Formats: sequence, C-alpha cells, structure tokens
Amino acid sequence: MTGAQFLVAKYVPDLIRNEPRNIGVIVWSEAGVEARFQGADKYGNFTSKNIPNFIQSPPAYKQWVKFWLSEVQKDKIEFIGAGKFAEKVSPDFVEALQTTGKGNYFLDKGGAVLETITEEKLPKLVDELFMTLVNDTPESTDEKYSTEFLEIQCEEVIQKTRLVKNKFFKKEGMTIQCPLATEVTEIIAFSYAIRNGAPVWLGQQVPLRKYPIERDRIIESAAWRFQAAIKYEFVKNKDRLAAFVCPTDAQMRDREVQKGLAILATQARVLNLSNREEAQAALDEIADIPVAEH
Amino acid sequence: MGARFVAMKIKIDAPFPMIKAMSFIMAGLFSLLAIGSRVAGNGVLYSYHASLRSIAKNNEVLKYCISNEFICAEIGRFIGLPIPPCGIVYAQDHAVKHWFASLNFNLTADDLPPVDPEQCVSVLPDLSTGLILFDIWIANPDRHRKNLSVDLAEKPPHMSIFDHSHALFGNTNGEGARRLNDLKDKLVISDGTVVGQNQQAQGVVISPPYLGILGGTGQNRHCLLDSLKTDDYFSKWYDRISSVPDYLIDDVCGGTVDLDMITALEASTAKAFLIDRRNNVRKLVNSNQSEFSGISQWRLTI
Repeated sequence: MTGAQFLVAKYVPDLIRNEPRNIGVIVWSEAGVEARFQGADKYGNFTSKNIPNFIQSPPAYKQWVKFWLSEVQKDKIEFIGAGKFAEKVSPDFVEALQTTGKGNYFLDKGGAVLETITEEKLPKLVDELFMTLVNDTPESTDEKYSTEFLEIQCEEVIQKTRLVKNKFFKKEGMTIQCPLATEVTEIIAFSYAIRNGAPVWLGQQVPLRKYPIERDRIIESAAWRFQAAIKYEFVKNKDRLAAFVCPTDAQMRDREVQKGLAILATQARVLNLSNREEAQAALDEIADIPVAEH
Repeated sequence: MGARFVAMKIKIDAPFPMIKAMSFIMAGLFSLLAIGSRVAGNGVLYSYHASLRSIAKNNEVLKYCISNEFICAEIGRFIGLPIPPCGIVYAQDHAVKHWFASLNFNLTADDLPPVDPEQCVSVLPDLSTGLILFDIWIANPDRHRKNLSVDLAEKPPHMSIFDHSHALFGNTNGEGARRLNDLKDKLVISDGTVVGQNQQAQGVVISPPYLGILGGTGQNRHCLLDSLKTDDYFSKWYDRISSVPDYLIDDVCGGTVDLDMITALEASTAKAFLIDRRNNVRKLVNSNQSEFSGISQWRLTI
C-alpha cells in the first residue's frame, strides 16, 4: 500500500485573463479514487446556491462534475487522444484523468500524501483536502448542517413539550466543573439542563456537519462531555443525558453518520429531531424527571 | 499548434440589443463579445459593428493546419454537420498574419466535458453517423472525445464538431499530397491503438508518420466507431456527401493556394481525393463493415 496523489480541479472564468479558481479535488490511492466538487455532494447531487458564483455556465459546470465523478468510478479510463488506457489501480490513472481537461476546465497536479491511505481513511483525506484547497464557503452557510438550523429545530420541538412549563428547565448558562487533575478543572457547557442547583439532566445540541472531519470532531467532543458528566457524577447515567441531532435524509443513509450516532448513543439518549413525534415524546418523558425542591 | 481566443469583428444585421448571433445553418448559437456603433451608409439599416468570440489557429507549427481546417469545415457545414461558422482571418498587427478562426459555440465561453461515446450515439445517432462518415471522407484520423462536444443540458442535446487540423494533408509538413495518395483506399478512422500521434512526441520513429508501424493511419480510432449501434442513417449521409458539388470542392481546395499555404499540386491532389472518396464512401464503408463493431446487422441495400 502506498500514499495517495491528488489533483485539483480548476476552472478559468475568463480564458483571456487566465486566472484559474479551484473547484474540486480528486484523490487517487491504491485503495480507491474519490472526488469532491464545490456545490455537489459526493454522489453528484447539486445544491444550486452553492455552485460558485464565478462559474459562468452552471449547466456546463454540472456536466463537468458529473463527468469527473463518473470517470473516477470506472475501472479503467482512456488517455484521451493517445489511444491507450490506465487501470484504476495504477498511478497512471492520475495522468489519464489529466487528459480529460479541456478549455477552462482542467485538472492540475496537487501533490502527494506520503501516509498510507486505507479505504477507511480515503473519504476523510478527500474532505480535508477539499476544505483546505477548495471550499471557501463557511460551513455555517450550509443551512441544513448549521448550528443555527439545529437550534431552531430544537426550539420548535421543545415548545411543543412539557419542558417549556418545567420551571427547572434551563436553556442557557449551564456549565459543569470537572476536576480533571489536582489543579486542572475543565468547565464544560451544555445546551440544556434540568436543575435546581445541581443538574439532574443535561442536553447538548450536536450539529451534524456536512464534511466528516468537522462532524466527527463535534461528535467526539459531545461524547466526551457526556462521559465527563457521568464520570464526575453530575448525572446518574446516560438516560439523564441527551444529544439533540437533526440528520438529513442523505445523512441517515450515510454509514459514517450512522457510526457517529451509534457512538453518541453509547453515552447519551440520542434525540433525532427529524422524527418530531418521537423526539417530542422523549422530551415529555424528560420533562417528568423528578427534581428535588429545596 | 494550440488554439487561441480572438475576437472577430463583423457586421451583424440584427436589431439592438441582441446578445447572441444566430448562425446560418444548424450549428446553433454563438457568443457575441460586444456590440459597437451603428454601421453608417445605405443598405445597412439596423446594422451594428460587433465583435464575436472565436477560436483561432495558425500554420506556425503545422503547415497544413489552416488549409485542413478551412476545407473540412466548409464541406462539413455544406452537408449539414454542426461545425461552427469559420473563416481565414488576417491579423494586421500580429507577427503571424493569417489565422483560421471559428466562432466559439460556447455561449458563456465555458467548455463542455469530453464526450461519452455511448451517450453521444444514443442521444444523437443521426449526427453521430454523419460525423463518422464525414471523418472517413476527409481522412480524419484524430476524432477523439475532446474534439467534439455534446451539450446534454440543451433540449434536444446539441452537438458541436471542431478540429480537423490532422485530416486531409495530415500533420506532417511537406507530406500532404503523399498522404492523400497513400490513404486513397483506406478507411483511415479505424487505427490508433498502436501508433498514436503522441508517440511521435515521445520520440518513436514512424516512417512515414501517417502509416505507422502496423500500416495504420497513425492516430486515434474514431471515438464513436465502436459505439454506433445502427445503420439507420447511413443512406441519408451518403446522399448528402454525394450531393456536394465539384465546384465547391474545387473552390475550397484552391482557397489557400494564393496565400501560399499549399501548392497548386497539393490543392489538385486534395480535390481529386475528396471527389474520389465522395463517390466511393459507401463502398469504403461496405468493405470495412467489421470495423463498425457495434452494428451487428447491416441492411442489404445501403
């Protein structure tokens, strides 16, 4: 197993000015080939508003992205104009891909990653390169994956539950102080709590970002918070902790997201706000958690 | 020789403000760079000076580039293939004076990706057939997925055909007439897996270059040749090719002689070649039916 090579897909808005812009990345490794393009998910579904505004012809752009995504799926591709082919498992595949460029769309050699790339690591590497080299749209502007979107979903569901009438339910200012070492105390904030002084239940919003690297980081951070809350005995068990998530339909089918949700479920109740009825019922149960009155 | 983008200044007869110029055959819409002042004088009512976006090539590297492009584009357009309108243009202030310029068919100047042959013959079987027969006629051994484009976003999908710089006289300077004589009875579009043009660049000795090591024509196998599944449209295109008049072939073959791009002998050789193949393209195909690997059954009367 060797390292990976990557190509940067570029677009030249004006061929006379010749000022290329990065629009995507394609990563080749012996474990496989993957690509990401601006405005499209890895399956080639487009979000029109995210097609870069410097693209003159969105229909042509979509055809290019679909073309490249289909090329990287093939077991062998042609060196166009040379009458020979390159197998996907061969590093020549990268050079053959480069022959597909034409006019204001082309693939430029980006570089190599020396680390061994396994099938499992490949998607993360592609995302990392994409975010570093291409993506200039802040994640938060991608509505469905944003913190703001999740916040709104949470609010809408909570408003329909008995939690709103629970005087011990707090939506802000909830922190726990975890004594990690003798002189090290970590202050951990949570999105929600039921408390009368000490918390009896804690809830945390966990926005499921579009790109795995950031999404995994957020999930790990949330899992660690929940773990700390139990370890330092702020709550009794994982039934007194809740992770608020709102996955998209595509995310629900994504094995990586499913894995992330499974990790969260080992530490807390996972409240899936995409399923409003179930989420409301769970929150109504949570609203009934007894709180000691002073 | 790499193509360059240039602006062609022409006069259009169209009401202002019009941002697209309509070609006079089915080649579609072309990109207009700018509209200037009104044209003064009688007979030019509602006419404006305009600049069009075009792509231009010269003879600096390939001696026959302009002649090949000019002749092929003119006869190709005559039979109704979507080849952009073009012409030989003069660049007064440039070191290279003569260029072949063809209008840019990309309205936004955005190129389309390489053609998927299966998809191309599936959505445009008629034009795909016409293109294959045309390439046989002009002895074009260089039809690959990037010198033809199909815009699938258009309804119906729109094909554009370009780049004939390696056809007819070929790409070997001084060997034009010889190539035409040598390829007289050859299909030409079926070779390429062994001897490609890039092998010349890699230093592989091929003599003569257009024949190649295994007696081929020296370049790519036609990108649509193995994908075409039907002979439904062959008769139509045979008719169109055979209807091209001698005078047109005569005129276009002689068109670049006065510009010293080809000799009179080369022009007459090209004329004889095109007329002979025009008359025999059906026979040439029939004797090479096995090369059309996607067509499993041929009708008897084509």
